[in-house]
Amino acid sequence: MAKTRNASASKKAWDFQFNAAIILTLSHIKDVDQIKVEGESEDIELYLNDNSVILSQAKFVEIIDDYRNVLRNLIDALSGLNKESISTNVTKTIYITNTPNPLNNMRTIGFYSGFKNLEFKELPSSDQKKIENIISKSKLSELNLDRLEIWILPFHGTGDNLFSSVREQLYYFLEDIEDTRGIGNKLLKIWQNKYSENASHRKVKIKKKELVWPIIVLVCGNPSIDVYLDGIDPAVQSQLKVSYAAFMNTMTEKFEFANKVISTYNEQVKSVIPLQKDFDDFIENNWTDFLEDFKIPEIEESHLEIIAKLIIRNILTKRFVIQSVKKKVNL
Amino acid sequence: MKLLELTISKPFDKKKFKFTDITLIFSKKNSVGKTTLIRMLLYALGYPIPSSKGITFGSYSYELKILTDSNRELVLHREGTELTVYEFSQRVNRFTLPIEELALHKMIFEIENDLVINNLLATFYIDQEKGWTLLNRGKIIGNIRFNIEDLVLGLSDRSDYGLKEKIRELEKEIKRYSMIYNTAIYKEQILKEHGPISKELEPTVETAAHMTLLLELQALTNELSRVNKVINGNIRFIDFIRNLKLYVIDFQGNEIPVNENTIKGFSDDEDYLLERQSQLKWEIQGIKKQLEPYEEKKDSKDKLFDIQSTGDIFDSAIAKLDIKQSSIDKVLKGLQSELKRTREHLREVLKTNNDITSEMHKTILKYTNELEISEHILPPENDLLFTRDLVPYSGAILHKIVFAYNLAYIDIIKKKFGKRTPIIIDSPKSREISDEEVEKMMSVLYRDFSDHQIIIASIHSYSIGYDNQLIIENQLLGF
Repeated sequence: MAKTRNASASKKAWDFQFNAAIILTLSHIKDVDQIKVEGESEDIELYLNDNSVILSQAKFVEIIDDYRNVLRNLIDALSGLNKESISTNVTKTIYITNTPNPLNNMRTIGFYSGFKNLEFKELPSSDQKKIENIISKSKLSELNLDRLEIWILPFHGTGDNLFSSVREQLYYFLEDIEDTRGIGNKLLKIWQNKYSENASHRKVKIKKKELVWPIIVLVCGNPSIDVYLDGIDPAVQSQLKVSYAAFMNTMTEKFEFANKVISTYNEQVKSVIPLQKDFDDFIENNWTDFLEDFKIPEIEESHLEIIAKLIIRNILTKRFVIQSVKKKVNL
Repeated sequence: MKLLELTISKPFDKKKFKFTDITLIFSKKNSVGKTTLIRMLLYALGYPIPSSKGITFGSYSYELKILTDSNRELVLHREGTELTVYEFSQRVNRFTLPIEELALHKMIFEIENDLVINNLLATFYIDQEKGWTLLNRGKIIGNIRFNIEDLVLGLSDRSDYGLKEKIRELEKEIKRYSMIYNTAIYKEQILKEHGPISKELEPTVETAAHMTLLLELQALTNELSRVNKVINGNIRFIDFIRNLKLYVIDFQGNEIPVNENTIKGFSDDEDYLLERQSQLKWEIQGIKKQLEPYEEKKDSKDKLFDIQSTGDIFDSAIAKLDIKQSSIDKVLKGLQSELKRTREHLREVLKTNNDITSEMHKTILKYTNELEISEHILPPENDLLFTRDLVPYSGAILHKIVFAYNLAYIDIIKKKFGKRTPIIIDSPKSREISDEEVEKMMSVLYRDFSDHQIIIASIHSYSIGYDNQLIIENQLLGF
């Protein structure tokens, strides 16, 4: 009995560590290149583009109001961070945990509720003192307090509740990227799934690229295709959607064709930031030029026009999304 | 209305074409741009003309000087979807096409009737490709349509628009019921093959959920195989390029090999597809997991048929539909006969006591007589205009009938509104028709319509007295 409880607790601890890694990555997305998560040592290492490293220790408590171990966790985490800090490239050391009372100090417990990322100097002075004492007692001489941060990531309950704070942080991140409404949940599942295969080893290496492409694919996955369908018989609309979806996707993804559309667009439209109107004008003026690449037998001309325009729009939108997301996360 | 001068330009380049009362656009060879010039002329007039091969109409700007029937000299400046009208160098109006096409054409043709304006182009323009087979309804060019009933309705000043609406509605309903009818036939076929579904064999909620999962699985599997195909296609493409061993030279003189790493955008597209592929695999895995319990139960109780494929699931769903071939047939027949009645009613309204139609009959008969085709059996007088039966005519006869109809259209618009539209004919000669016959047609045109502007594109110069010859040598624009 005790064994199974431990197994599920350790699974949860791993989930916490993995999700903490995601949150740390999102917060440093522009600078990050790779992330290493090691279950055994509760290490999270963020390798940045400029060859520097952000070190983190993640500690999970199973019961939210059980504070018996929180101080032990803090000491362990600081020791772990101290040990790894010998490397000269370390620019930040982060202790991340899910307890609302990381210093076991009932007077400052309110200060740590909800998601928090705090520099050492932002902490209440009594807590600062507590940490300084730990450092001197445990002789953690490598630890630089100017670089120390304490992060709280709420991670309690089961099912959706467990991830609610992670999801919230993910939504904040996605807010900066166009058209990401509604993809948060699925994105989180995809990320979790991508690395759960390795979870048995409790050791994963994540490349930024692997986190970013799912966003792009999800954003492009549901192109708005109603622009040209307004005013058309609903029966015909759904017929067009169903019958030609695969064809439209293939044309959008076929490199030769997509490249032709994009290059023609770039030759004609010089604006750096594409406006909806640029797309509209380009499509209106050029769609007939691409018809020779379309082979759809027995299609009504007016339907062909809709499909051609949608394909061109999807190609342009996709390219724009790729560029804009990559730029935002510095990929 | 007359077209006086067309200027086609791009930054740093422009070319001017002058049009007189009788203009022949001439070239010795075919495919040098006569048709393109005519289509650009119509594009400049604000029509949604599709671009010719190799020339994108929207990438030029156009200035077209015209003289309206009330002697206003207007300049139409079209740039993409914006068309601005100037008079005495002052801007008088601005139209966004195609939304305001109707308003624009009312202004330049000086005709107020919507139905006439909407059907005007086919009356004065005969396109090289579709024009000579277009008699009284169909597409003129691109998506621009012509319909004789609409034109006559517009000319007759009748308020029978309601009938027209009703016809449209009925046509839509019939389309819908035809599809249901086909489904009903299919259903009956399924039942014939599999026998009737007894009550206890009807799919339960559980099997419905099972079916939904199977359908989802099928759709995802199809999508995955589609994505795989695209990935392979792109790989084949890049292999081909790489094997060509091409190099480009940059401005510093460095040689850069052309391959997947150096072609702009390729690696992005590849990354995109690989991620899409991995997401699909993940989703398929998820569905398969959900399907496991059903698979275990599968043998216990058999359903209507063995559920194996999407096709079977579809059949089973169709078999459940509460539709009967015979009752749908009744509805469909009812709708069809109502449509027929409404059409006849409209035609009757248009035919009877209608000066417009009888005037048009007279004109058509006059010219078919003169062009010596009236001995061929034409439809009886009251069906002449509205016939749908083109089968008996072919080749030279159809060519001349089309010509006679067009002359009748132009003539009636002149009589009714006092407006003279230009007459634009792209290649009056076809393979089936002799030079003599074309000469005859042209002389009729010149004799009876010399008060209109006539623009003809051809590789033959006819003996009508054109006063301007636009000779196109090798290229229409050269920029």
